[in-house]
Parts: sequence; structure tokens; C-alpha cells
Amino acid sequence: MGKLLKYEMRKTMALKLILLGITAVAEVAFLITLYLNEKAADTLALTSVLLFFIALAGTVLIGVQSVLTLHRDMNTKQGYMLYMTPRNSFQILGAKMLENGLSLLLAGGFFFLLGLLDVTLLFSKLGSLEDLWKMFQDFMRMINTEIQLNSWSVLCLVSEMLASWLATVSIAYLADIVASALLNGKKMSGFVAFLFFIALTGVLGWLQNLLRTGAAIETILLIRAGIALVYAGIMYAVSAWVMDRYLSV
Amino acid sequence: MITSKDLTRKFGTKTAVDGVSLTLTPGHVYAMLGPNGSGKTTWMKMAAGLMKPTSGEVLFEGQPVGVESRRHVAYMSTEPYFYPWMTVKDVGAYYGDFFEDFSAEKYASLLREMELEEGMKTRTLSSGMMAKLKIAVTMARDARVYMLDEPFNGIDLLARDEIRQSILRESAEDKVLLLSSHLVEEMEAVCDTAIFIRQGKLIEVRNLEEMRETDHVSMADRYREIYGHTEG
Repeated sequence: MGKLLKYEMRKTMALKLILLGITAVAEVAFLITLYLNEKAADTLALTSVLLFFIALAGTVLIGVQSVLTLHRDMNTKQGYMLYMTPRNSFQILGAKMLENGLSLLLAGGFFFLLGLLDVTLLFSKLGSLEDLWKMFQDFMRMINTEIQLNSWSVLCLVSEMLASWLATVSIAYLADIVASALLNGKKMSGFVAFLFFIALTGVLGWLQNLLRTGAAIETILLIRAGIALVYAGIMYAVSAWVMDRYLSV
Repeated sequence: MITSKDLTRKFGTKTAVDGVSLTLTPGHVYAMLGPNGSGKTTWMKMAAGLMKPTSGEVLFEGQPVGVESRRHVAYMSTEPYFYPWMTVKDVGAYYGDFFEDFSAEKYASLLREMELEEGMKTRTLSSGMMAKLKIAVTMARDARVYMLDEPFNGIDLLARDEIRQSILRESAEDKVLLLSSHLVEEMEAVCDTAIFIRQGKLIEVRNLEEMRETDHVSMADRYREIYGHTEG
């Protein structure tokens, strides 16, 4: 699987380099504003929001690109490169899923640490700005009303978001594989696959929301992440089975 | 070595391959012949394990084609299929990573013969150069079965000679070579057995030497006899 993983990494490298470049530019702009132009509050807010947006969009894009790569590998001639190798569908899809999981983990970890660093720098420089702190907390509450702003809770939140996104990507894999393998050439196959995706995403949400305990929010977030990972595993197994049995490239 | 049993593949209402039963044995170079849409490519893709049959099966040494057969079967598609970010060198590295029978030395030698440079980007190759690259990387494997779909497409006369030589070099007692092409005369110089397919059905499998001796016709003559009225 290592060699498959190597080529999956290579296929997605361009997007990651672009994201890294954009993040570097935004980070430099943030640091310049923070240390050399501290009166420019608007610019500081803008660069902070920009960095946050890049982190969110970047993580989403990594997942979307993974689904698009799988789609190309099943529906264009470049799929021969993959399916003529002596590797089975479980290995092929496993490498894709692993690449996506690792990329999400690395991107999530990178953006989490960068965010932590920037917030620390921000408060060490402008620690007296209570309004800014309050604004940040309000923003966090927008994402999850119960979350407290400390490193552990943010880490739990980031883990839950990454695991849920990985599960969503794995659902998209299955929907695309069903469209390419079972519904190929049939009318409305894309629409049926989309409905399938929506239904399976709904089931994931329903399962995650079954949890209504008095436990701490961090615990609930970690359990939700666990449910998402198990769900992603089930999606992977079903997807690879369908691919193995029915996919023609 | 490769056997298809009552192999059928349908695309909606169209039947591309219709109940083809066929055995390819080692020591032969086969020409798979038929007009466009006769099912040659579809049969090859099923034999390569890339396409699932609607019914019937393809066996490699008695086992259904799949992961194990892909270790020993070298398939070359007629369409370009390399990743666009690859260079000629990357293509060789990729085959080297996945196929134990791939020889980097043989690949380098074939590239020299075909006048291809390792630093060339596959997305910038002309159709002729791409065809040469596909041949070079496929023939650099020491496979048990080679299936080349339209290997002479888009290639000039001199390059065709080189390709013909590299194909002939690989013919051996323990190997199967299967080629499909519209260039029937080109094929006659390389192949010893002809497989005629029409509208997805197997018409006949003929040993060329025997056909010349008994029927006094060449492969091209027989092709005209079978397809003349359908191709106009």
C-alpha cells in the first residue's frame, strides 16, 4: 500500500503547495501588521479572518480534491494506471482514504498550531484588548454554542470536525463509486448518487446526535469523532467491495 | 494461458462482445482483427481485468483474471493513460514500483531506440511520441502475456519498424502476444495466428501459415473476404 500511498500523495501535492503558499502570504501579512503596523486594527482583523478562512477552506478543499481524484481515476483513461497494477480495490481505496485522512490530520494539525501561535502572539502583543478576546469567544460560540475557548476544547472541536469531514468524504467516495460502477451510463445517475450522499450524510448526523448525555462537551465531541471514524470505516469497506465487484474502467 | 468462456459484455442495449470463447496459448503472436466497434478493445480490457463482463469469464492459467493475473499480463491501451504530471522518467519509475517484471535498463534502451528523453512531460508529447512511450514502457516488462491495442496507431513508418522489432524480440515459447490493429499488412509480418471478430462475435481463429497453404489466401485477403461487405 505504501507505493499506492506515495502516488496518491503526488496526485494531490499541487493543491497542498498552493494552500501552503497562500497561508504563508497571509501569515506574513498578519505578522507584518501585528509588529510593524499595530495601529491598523482593520488590517489585523482582516488578516486574522483570512487565515481562519484559509484553514477552513483548505481543509474542505483537501477532501473535495480527494473525491475528484477518485472520480477521475474511475471515469477517465488515467484510471488504467491504477487498476492495471496488481493491487486490489481494498488497497487502492485504502490508499486514497489513508492519504486523505493523513492530509486532513496534517492540515488540521498545522492550522491548529498556527492558529494557537497567532492567538498567543496576538494576546502577548495586544493583551489588554478585552473586546478582541470577547469577539473571538463569540466567534467560537457561533461554531458550537457550548464550547469554551481553551486549547483542549478547541483540539476536541477540531478533531470532531476533521473526523466528521473524513466521514463525509468517505460517503462521497461511496456515492461516486455507486454512480460509476452500478449506475454508469444510466440516466440521472449523478442525481441518484447525490440523493444517496445526502441520505447517508443524514444518517451520520442522526447517529452523532443520538448522544444526549450530561457529559462534558469535550467528551461528547470525542465520541462524535469516534462515531464518524467508525462510519468512515464502514463506508470504506462497502465502497471497496462495490468497486471490486462491479467497477469497470 | 488466457481463456475466455462465453464472454459477453453489454453497454445498455448494445452488445460489444457476444459470447466469445477463445483460448490464447503460449508461443504464439495473435492478431485480433475486426472493424471499428467489433469488440476487440472490450475483449482486451476484460482480459486485462479492467472491465467486468456482463456474463461469462476470463481465466488466466485457470484462475479468473484479477490482481494475480495483472502481475503477468502487460496491457497497452490504445488511448493515452499516463498521469498528466508525469515525465517519461516518472512513467518508468511508476511501472518499476508496481511490476516486478519491469526492467529499468530495458526501458532506457527502448527509450533510446524510440528517441524519447526522460525529462519529457507526457502531457506535451505528440500522439506519435505518446504511442512510442506506451510501447516502450509496456515492452520493458518481462510479462507472460502482452496485449497491445492498436500499437501502430499514429506512428510513422520507421517507428513502426522499431516497434515491430521490439514486439518480435519478445515473442517466445512461454509468452503470448496479442495485437489489434487496422493495419492488417503490418500485422501479417508479425503475427502467426489471426482472430477475426465481427459485431462482438468470434468468426474464426486461423493459423496464418496453414491458411496460406490450404486456402492460398493471406491474412489481408481473408480480412477482405470476411469484412468486405460490412466495411464497404
